[in-house]
Amino acid sequence: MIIEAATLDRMFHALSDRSRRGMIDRLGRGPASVTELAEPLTMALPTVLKHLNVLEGSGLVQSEKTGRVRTYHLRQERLAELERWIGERKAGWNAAFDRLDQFLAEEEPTP
Amino acid sequence: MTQPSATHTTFTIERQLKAKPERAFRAWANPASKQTWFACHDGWATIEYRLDFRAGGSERNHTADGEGLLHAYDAHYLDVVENARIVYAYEMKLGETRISASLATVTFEPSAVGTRMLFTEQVVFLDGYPDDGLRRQGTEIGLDNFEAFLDREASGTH
Repeated sequence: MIIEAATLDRMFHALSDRSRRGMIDRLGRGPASVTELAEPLTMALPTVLKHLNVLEGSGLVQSEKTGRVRTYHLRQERLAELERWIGERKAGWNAAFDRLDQFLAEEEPTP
Repeated sequence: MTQPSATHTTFTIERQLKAKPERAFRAWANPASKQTWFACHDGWATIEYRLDFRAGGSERNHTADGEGLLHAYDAHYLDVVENARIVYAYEMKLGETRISASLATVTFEPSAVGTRMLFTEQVVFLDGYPDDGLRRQGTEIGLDNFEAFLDREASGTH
């Protein structure tokens, strides 16, 4: 899967805010309405909606309106894309550090 | 590639090593030791490896992966405190394209097991995740380099 640079920027920006990360956490437990998402937060509803717009613009969450209620849900596959960058780099280092373990063990067997 | 972009992030890896800090540090400082664990991958060909381990020194690890794509790591050491800390800056290129620039900090502390090694990387990923086009283009460049390496080796000037 290929990530457009601008898309990636939007995702990182979306996740750079503590309140928005909280909303992501909440949506990780299942879909939620604006009211449900706003409940644990001490902020005005328009601010909550602003954050949700940023999240939706990043592609990390999606919303549907049924009647008068707008429900948000997490797009798990987009989070997976974001993690790929860091995941690949970390995996490379961990493989090298595994070889470091092995090197140290072979250089001088543990007494 | 799309528009130029720069995406910053920081991550930390903690490892417990079964060796005293002196020996763990030496595995980073000694060129032959470092190459053994850092530069040697199964199925990857080393094109060039060198290490001048000191503040102001540099390191190069150029390899070709299984598909012949060049992975070029170039580092500059900024701070070295024996048996305790290493700080260096490095860049990664895939083929001819720079994909990231980083500041890495490694610290060594004595622990019950031997050494608590903390690796922290502050990285800026450049211009989006490498796409298939780049990987293909890189493959060709990588193969050129690999052939040059084989030629040098065959002529005994490597």
